[in-house]
Amino acid sequence: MADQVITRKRCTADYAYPFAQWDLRLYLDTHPDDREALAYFRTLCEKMPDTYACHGTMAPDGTCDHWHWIEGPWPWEFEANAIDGKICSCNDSCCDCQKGGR
Amino acid sequence: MFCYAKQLEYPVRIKNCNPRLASAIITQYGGPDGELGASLRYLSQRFSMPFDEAKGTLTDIGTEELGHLEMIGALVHQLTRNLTPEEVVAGGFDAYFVDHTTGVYPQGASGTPFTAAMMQSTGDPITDLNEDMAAEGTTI
Repeated sequence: MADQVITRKRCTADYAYPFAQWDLRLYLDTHPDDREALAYFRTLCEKMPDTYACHGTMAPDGTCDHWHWIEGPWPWEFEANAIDGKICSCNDSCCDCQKGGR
Repeated sequence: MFCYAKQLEYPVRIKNCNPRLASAIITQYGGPDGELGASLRYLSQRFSMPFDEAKGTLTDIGTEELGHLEMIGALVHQLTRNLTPEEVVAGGFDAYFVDHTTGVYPQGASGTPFTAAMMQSTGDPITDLNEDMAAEGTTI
């Protein structure tokens, strides 16, 4: 969006909504099954979508019964770094990775 | 990965320059209990946290602290713009100015440059969380 490329005039809501969304996000990190908080987060993200606070957190199908953002594996973990389902990129048949089906 | 949102978390609008105040505020940028230390603390400690809740929380807090770092940098920048040489000296800002002019440099108010010695990441979750509370405790 052009708004994100060119710094435009901002109003109070431009700061207030992302701040509220972010605070709720921090709460949901430790209370991932709090339905009231999940519903409120969803409401705030519908009022102002595409903010830094909403980014990457909403499930594509819009389901809202759990805070999936915290689910593993996290990027620094071994399991998160498979490409095309494979962690080992060698094709050697006697490699331990191949034997383990990884 | 880190993306950048081109907006401060809260607006910074300083009408009057004040280099003396900037000398104090800079400690929240690169000082022992400042935002740079806070960001690195959380973003480093998260790797050894055992639970998803902790990994997520430390990641999100560390990210927000980088946003705070930006606001403090904006404060120092705005407090020191358009200074005359007389204002630099009168504001007790000359020692910083001679090395950094009106650039923003990560140091504490005493002039100590930022160092990782101002934080710890032990790999033990309880110790690390206690260290976080101790660092944040200076704000409360």
